[in-house]
Amino acid sequence: MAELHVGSELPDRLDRMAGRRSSAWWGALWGAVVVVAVLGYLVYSYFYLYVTAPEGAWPPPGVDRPPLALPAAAALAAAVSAVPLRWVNRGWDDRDPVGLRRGILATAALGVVVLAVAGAAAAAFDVGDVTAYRSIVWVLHAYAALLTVVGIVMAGVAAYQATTFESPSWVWSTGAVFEVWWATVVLSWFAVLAVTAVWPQLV
Amino acid sequence: VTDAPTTIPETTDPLERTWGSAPGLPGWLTAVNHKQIGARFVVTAFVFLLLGGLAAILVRTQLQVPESDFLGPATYNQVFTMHGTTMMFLFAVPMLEGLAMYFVPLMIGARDLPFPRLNAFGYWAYLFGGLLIYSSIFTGSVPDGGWYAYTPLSGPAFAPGTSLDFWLLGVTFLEISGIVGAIELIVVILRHRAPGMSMERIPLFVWSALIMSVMIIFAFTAVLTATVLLELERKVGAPFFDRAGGGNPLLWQHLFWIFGHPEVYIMLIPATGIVSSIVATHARRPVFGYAWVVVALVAIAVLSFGLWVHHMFTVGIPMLALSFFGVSSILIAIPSGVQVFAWLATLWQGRPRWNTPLLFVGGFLVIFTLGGVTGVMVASPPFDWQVHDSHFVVAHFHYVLLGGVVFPIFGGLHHWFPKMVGRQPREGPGKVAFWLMFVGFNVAFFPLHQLGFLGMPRRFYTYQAGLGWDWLNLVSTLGTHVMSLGILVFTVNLVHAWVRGPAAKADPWGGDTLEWLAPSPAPVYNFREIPVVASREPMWEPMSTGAGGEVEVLMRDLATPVEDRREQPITSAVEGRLEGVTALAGPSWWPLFAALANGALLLGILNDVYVLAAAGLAGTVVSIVGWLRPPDREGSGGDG
Repeated sequence: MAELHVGSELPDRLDRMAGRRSSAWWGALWGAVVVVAVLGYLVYSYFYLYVTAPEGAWPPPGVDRPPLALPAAAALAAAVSAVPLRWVNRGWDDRDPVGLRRGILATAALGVVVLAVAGAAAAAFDVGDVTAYRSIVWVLHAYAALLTVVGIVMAGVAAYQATTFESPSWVWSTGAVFEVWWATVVLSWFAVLAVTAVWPQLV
Repeated sequence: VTDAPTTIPETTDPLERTWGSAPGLPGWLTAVNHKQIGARFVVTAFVFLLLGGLAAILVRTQLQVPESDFLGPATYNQVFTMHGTTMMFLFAVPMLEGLAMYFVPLMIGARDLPFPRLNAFGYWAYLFGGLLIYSSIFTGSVPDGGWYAYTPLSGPAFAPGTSLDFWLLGVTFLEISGIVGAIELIVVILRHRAPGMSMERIPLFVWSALIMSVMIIFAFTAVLTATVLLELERKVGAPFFDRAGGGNPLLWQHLFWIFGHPEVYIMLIPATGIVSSIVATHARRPVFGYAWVVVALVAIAVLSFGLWVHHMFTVGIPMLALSFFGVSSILIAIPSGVQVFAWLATLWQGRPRWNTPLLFVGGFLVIFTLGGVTGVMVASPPFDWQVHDSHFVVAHFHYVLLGGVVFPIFGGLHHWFPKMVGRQPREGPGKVAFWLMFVGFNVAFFPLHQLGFLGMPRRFYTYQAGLGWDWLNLVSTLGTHVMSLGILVFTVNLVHAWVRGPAAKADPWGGDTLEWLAPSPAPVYNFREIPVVASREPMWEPMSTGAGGEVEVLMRDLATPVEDRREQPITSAVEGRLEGVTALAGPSWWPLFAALANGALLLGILNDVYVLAAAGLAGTVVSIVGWLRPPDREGSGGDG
C-alpha cells in the first residue's frame, strides 16, 4: 500500500489503476455482456424460426443451402484480426504507447478485411425472396458488421489517444476496453458462421 | 462545444469546489453527480406515476357502469396501453434505478458512480424516450397495442400508421437508459465500495440493486432485440412475426416474456431491498437471516428467467413444457417466502416503531403475500386456462406489482426523504396517506378476483348489464378514487415538507447503513472522509476511526483533493480491500448532446425523414468521440 500516497504521487496511482483494474474495463466487460446477450437472442430467434418454419423447410423452398467457404473465411479473418491484440495487451501492460497503437491499428486494419470478406460472402449468398429466413440471416450479419464498424471507429479514437498521449492512464484503459470489444467482434463472426452457414449443412 | 464544466461555484471548501456543478441552467444541464441524476429519475418517474394513475382512473371510470360510452373502444385501448406502458417502463424501473443511483453510492461509501457522464446520458435517454411516447398524444398516434404489443396485432398489417412506432422507438430508448444505469450500478458495487466493506457486509438494498442490475442486462436485451425486429418488420417488411413470410408471431411473445417476467422481479427485488432497509431501521435490529435473504434474492433472480412461458399457457404449449414452467413458477414462492419470514422474524424480535415507512411495509407484507398466493394459483396450467385474460389476472398482478413494488417505493420515499431534501415529512399525513392507499387498493382490486371468476375478460372496453358484474365494478372504481386520494395526500405531504418542513437530522430514524452518516441533505461529495467499514451495520457498531491504519490515513487524505481531481477509491470486488484511487469524469455537455442526437435519429426513423436520422447518427458518433476525448491533464477527467 506504500505506493498509494495521496498527493505527490497521484499520477502513478492513477496509472496503477489503469488497464484491467480500471472501472472502464469493468464497464466494458458488462457492455460486452450486453452485446453478447443481444447476439444470443438473435441466435435464439434464428433457431425458433427454424424450429417453427412452415412445413419444416429451412432454408425455405427455392433457396439453396448457404455456401460455407466465404463465411468461414470471414470468421477466420476475424480470428486472425485478434492476433495483434497481443500487441495491444503487451502495450498497455508494458506501458508502451507505440506498441499499443501498432496493435490497435493492425487489429482495425484486419477488421476492414473482415468486413470485405463478409461482404463478399453476403453477396455470394442467394437468400431468395423476403422471408423470415432471409431477414434473420441478414440481421445476424448486419449485427456482426455493426460491432466491427464500431470497433474500427473505437480503434481510431484509441490510436489517436495513444499518439497524443495526453493522459496515460486513459490510454491504457482505452486499450483494455478495445480488447474486450474486439473479443465480442470475433465471437459474433463465429456465431454468424456457426448459425447461418454450418448449421444448415448439418440439418 | 466543450466537455469542461463551466464556472464552478465560489467556495472555500476544496471538496465542494471539486465535486460541484456550475450554477444556473448550464450547471443543471451538464450535471453528472449521482444524487442529482438519481433525484431526477425519482421525480420524473413520480410524475409518470401520476400520469399513469390518471390513465388508470380513466379506465376504471369507463368500467364503472355497464355499456358506458365515456371513452369508447379506440380511446380505451389507447388509455390502457398508456397506463401499462407508463407504469412498467416509465415509472417502476426508472424509479427504482433512480433510488439505487442515489443511495447505493451513499450506502457503500462512494463519492459518485463510476461513469458519471454515462449516468447523465441515461437520464436524458429516459426523459426523451418518455416524451417520445407521450408526444404521440399530440400527433393523434397514441399506441393502442397494450404494454406487450403482441404481434400480429402490432405488425404493419393490423397497426398501420405510426402509433406502434412511437411505442417501439420510445421503449428502445428506455431500455438503453435502463441498461446503462445497470452497468453503472454493477461496477460501483463491485469496485467502489468503502475499504473494509466485504461482500458479507453489503447492505441488503445494495445486494438487491446489484441483482436487479444483472437481471436488467439479460432481460432488457431480450425486449431490445424484440423491438428492433418488430420495427424492422414494420419499416422494411422483414417478416419475423408474419406467418405468411415464414415468421412466427409467437416469437414476439417469447422474446417479450423472457423480458417481461424477469421484469416483475427486476421491480420486486429492489423493492424488497427497500423493505429490508426500512424493517431494519424501524424495527431497530438487523434483518433476521441476512445470508438467507441474499440467497433468496439470487434464487429469485435465477428462477425468474425460467418461467416466462407461464404467460403463454394458452397458446398451445407441449405438456412437458407446461409442467416445467408450472413447477418453476410455483418454486419461486419458496425464496419469496423466505424473505417474508425473515422480515416477520425481524419485526418479531425487534422493537418496531410504526412510523409511516414501516406502515407501508406492513401493507406490502399483506398485499404482496395475497398476490403471491394467487400467483401460485395461476402457476397451475389448468387453473390458468380458466382465468387467463380475465380480471382475476388483473387482480393478481396488481396485488403483486402495486402491493409488492409501489408500497415499498412509497415507504422508501418517506424513509429517505430527509436524506434527499434535508427536511422531515410529517408523520400524521403520511399515516393518513397509507391508510387511504391500503384501504383504497383493496377495495379497488379485491373485487376483480370475483369479476374474473364470473368471467369478465380484461382489455374489453365495456360489458352488458345483468351479468352480475355491475356492483363489483362500481366498488372497484370507488376504491380507485380512495387510493388516488391517498397518493394525493402523500404527494402534498412531501411537497409541504420540501417547502416548509422542519430541518432533518443526519440520522432521523437511527438507521444502520452509511447513508445516515452523511449530513441531511448529503453534500455533493457525500463524505468528507471516506469511511472505513468494519461491520455489516456500520452505524450501529463502533466505527473504525482510530488514528492508526494506513488505509484510514489515506481515506482522510482524500478529503483534500489534489488539483481538483474527483478522486474515488477502488476496492477489490470480494474482500473490499483498497487497491488504489481513480479519477472520475466531471460535468459535460456531451451526454445531453448524445441523447439529443439519439432522439433525432429515432425521430428521423419514426417519420421516414432519413436525412434527420443520418444527422442524428452523425451527431451521436461526434458526441461519443467528444465525450471520450482524453482529459486536458492527467486525472482531471477519468472514466466517462
